[in-house]
Amino acid sequence: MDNPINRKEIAPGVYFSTVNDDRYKFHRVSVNFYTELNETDAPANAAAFCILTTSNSRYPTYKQLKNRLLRLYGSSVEPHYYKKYDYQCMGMTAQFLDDVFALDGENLTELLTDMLIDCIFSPITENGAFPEKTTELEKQTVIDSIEELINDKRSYAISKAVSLLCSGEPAQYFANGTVEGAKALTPQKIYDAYLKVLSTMRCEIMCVGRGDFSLVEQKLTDAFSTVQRKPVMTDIIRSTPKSEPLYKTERLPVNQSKMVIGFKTTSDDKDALSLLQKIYGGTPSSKLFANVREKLSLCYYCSASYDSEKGLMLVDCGVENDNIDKAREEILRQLELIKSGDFTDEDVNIAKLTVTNNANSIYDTVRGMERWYLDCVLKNQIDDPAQYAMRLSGVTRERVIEAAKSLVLDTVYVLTSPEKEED
Amino acid sequence: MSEKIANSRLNEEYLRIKHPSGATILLYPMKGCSSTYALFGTRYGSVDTTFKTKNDADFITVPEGIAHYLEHKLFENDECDAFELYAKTGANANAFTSFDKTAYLFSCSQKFEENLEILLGFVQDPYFTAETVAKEQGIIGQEIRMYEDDPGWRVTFNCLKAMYHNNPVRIDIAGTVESIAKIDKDLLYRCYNTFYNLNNMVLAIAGKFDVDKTLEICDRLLKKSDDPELVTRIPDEPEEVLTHRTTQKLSCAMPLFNIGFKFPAYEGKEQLKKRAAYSILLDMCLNKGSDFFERCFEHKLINYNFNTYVFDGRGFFSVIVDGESRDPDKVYDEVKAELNRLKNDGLSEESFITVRNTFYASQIASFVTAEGVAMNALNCEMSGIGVYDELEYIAAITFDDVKEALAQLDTENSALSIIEPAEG
Repeated sequence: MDNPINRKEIAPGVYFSTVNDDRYKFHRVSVNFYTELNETDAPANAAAFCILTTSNSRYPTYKQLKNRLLRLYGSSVEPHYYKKYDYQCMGMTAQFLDDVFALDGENLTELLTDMLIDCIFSPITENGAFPEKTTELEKQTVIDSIEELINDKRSYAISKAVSLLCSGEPAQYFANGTVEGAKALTPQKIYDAYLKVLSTMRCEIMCVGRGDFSLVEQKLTDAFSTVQRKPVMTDIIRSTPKSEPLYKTERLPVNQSKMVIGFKTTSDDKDALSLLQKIYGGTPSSKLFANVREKLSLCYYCSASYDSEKGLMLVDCGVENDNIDKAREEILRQLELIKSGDFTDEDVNIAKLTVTNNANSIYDTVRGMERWYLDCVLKNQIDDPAQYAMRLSGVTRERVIEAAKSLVLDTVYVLTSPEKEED
Repeated sequence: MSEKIANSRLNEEYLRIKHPSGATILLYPMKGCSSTYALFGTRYGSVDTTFKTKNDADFITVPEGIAHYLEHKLFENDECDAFELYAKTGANANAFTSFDKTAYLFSCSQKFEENLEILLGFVQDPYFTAETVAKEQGIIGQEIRMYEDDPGWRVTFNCLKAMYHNNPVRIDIAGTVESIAKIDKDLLYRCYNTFYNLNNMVLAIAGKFDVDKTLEICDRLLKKSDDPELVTRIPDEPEEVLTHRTTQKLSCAMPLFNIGFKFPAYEGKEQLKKRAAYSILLDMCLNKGSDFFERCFEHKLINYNFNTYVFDGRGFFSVIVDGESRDPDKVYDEVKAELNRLKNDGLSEESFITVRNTFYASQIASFVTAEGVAMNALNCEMSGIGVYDELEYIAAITFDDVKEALAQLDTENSALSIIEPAEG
């Protein structure tokens, strides 16, 4: 299969990519800005995109903007702000129905591209800054987004563990910074952040859908030509292992404890590490699922994930408070077994089949393709999903063992309930 | 018996087959799709705790959570578990239990026929022993614990508990640590033999596959079932909600709330029409883009985590408003006041067209992926409607339908569930 992505630079540090396929009924056009994550700027960057998607010079209130989008068959222009590796990524995405389904023959591609451009380049301003009232409301959105992290205990535990694992690196911070930082935002601070985003940050525009995106390209090229761009490009830092593992316990009123065990690797064999993740804890026949869950009945979920750019392997599980030690020992023991070669060729084949199956499924959704290729451009290695699966199918059992041996225990984070007071 | 059902709007079609085994089979091939999604489901969910067949003298009531427990255990046979079989093909396999159904599924981009054989094989071949049943207590116990800590999950179940007096929809799908302790292999076999007969089951497949080869596998592997004349009984349910307010403290950032409006249960096309009308109505009246949302958002009473949806299934129908607020009681009052105001002042037709268009697009969206299509097909068949019925109904729904829905909405027959942040 040919690599379906086309990518070109349309302004300094602004890259325009398209992925075309007739199978899709929807299109996604996303504008993604990347900067090295830092706690000080993060809340303002996130708030800027919250504000930009509430209104623009053509639709000056959120209600007007939202109703226009709803009228266009529930199209959306939504902000995003998240952490990826050492980057803060923020921007907005337009999703809309293919023109062929429009009941009244509207040209949705053109209408949504205009809407996206108006939101990014023509915001409502007051005295050279964002309006006071909108700022106040969207500041709250950012504050809520930081505080809400606690609602999902699994994600919260992983975020806290990553902060400890990546201490001293940009990835240690939460995506939107701190509540204190968000509370200190002003209309001017956010507007200045917005201008800095537009003029200095690397930008990746990703269009996925069926048909022709040349009009989108032309309009976005024209829009970016009005900005003086001096892009600042930064690299991802490979995380270095601590000299001694860090053990950290946090206490909150919870019924089930969460444990995250973080390993680091300095190995460059990313393909072998990806396959190792599947064998260790990436499928229902993995070592962690088969033993920690099925054999010992300790957990409902216990799985591994791998961050190829930071060099991290995380295992996370939900476990009864009394079984934390037992689960940790078994998780570590299973890795030792893989290091000693105690797994079969069939385990390796199963992992490869899973990779191939997952890779082929990515082609079926616009969202899947968008995520895949955005990750590729950040990693600076553009493979299509099938090529990636093909490469992993060449990984040998010996390489998996070496990959396992390269993992060093770095951090064990436990979220558990408060200790009971003695009578 | 086989019928081909086509839709000119989507330019797509599927096959609906009443198979000699008793099962209903829905086959939806999709052009240009790389993967295949298959679901094998039974009309058996957490609400089906009281039932009888022609072989039973009287109704039997089984412990809560047993449908879900059975789903976990069915993956094992005497030699291995189904995950191990799927692992050899690389498929992604899973299962779920809802209030009114249980389904086993896989998605794959290769070896579809092998995967289908695995699916049809293990679902029709139960194997429970005292040891394997006991082993699952720990795993499901941890699943229940996980949900106990999930404020978004708790706020909804507490709302159902507040609305419903007797309907088992008020009980967690997985049951409780205490109720699952009563489950043994004999009860599992009894439930299996009652609900997993093919007359009660649907196979739905969408994406990339060969219809003839699929039917050959079905003919070979689906074992003809005797119809046990199954009757399930859902306890009588008063029309009124049980209580108007319920609260719980959990670790979370700000209070979460659910407001539930209770309705009688509907079936088939009536259920579909009510679902469409109330989905559109609530979106028009309260959601992003409405006067209500603008006003409450600007007063910081609600944030973007605000949504409305219809919660319905076999034996229950309600409308839920879901969100976060520092003052949920005030939101509850505002929601009721707004709905009553619109009852008096009337709805906007322009707003109706806007919202109808979004629901129309979301219907199209449900035909984009193999997963969406297969899931939709299973749900529709189990609700007694065709796969395209909802799309066509929404394309044709009128302003009067939605006005009538508002007129029938009793804002006082409702309940507020709040999760408050726990200290510590």
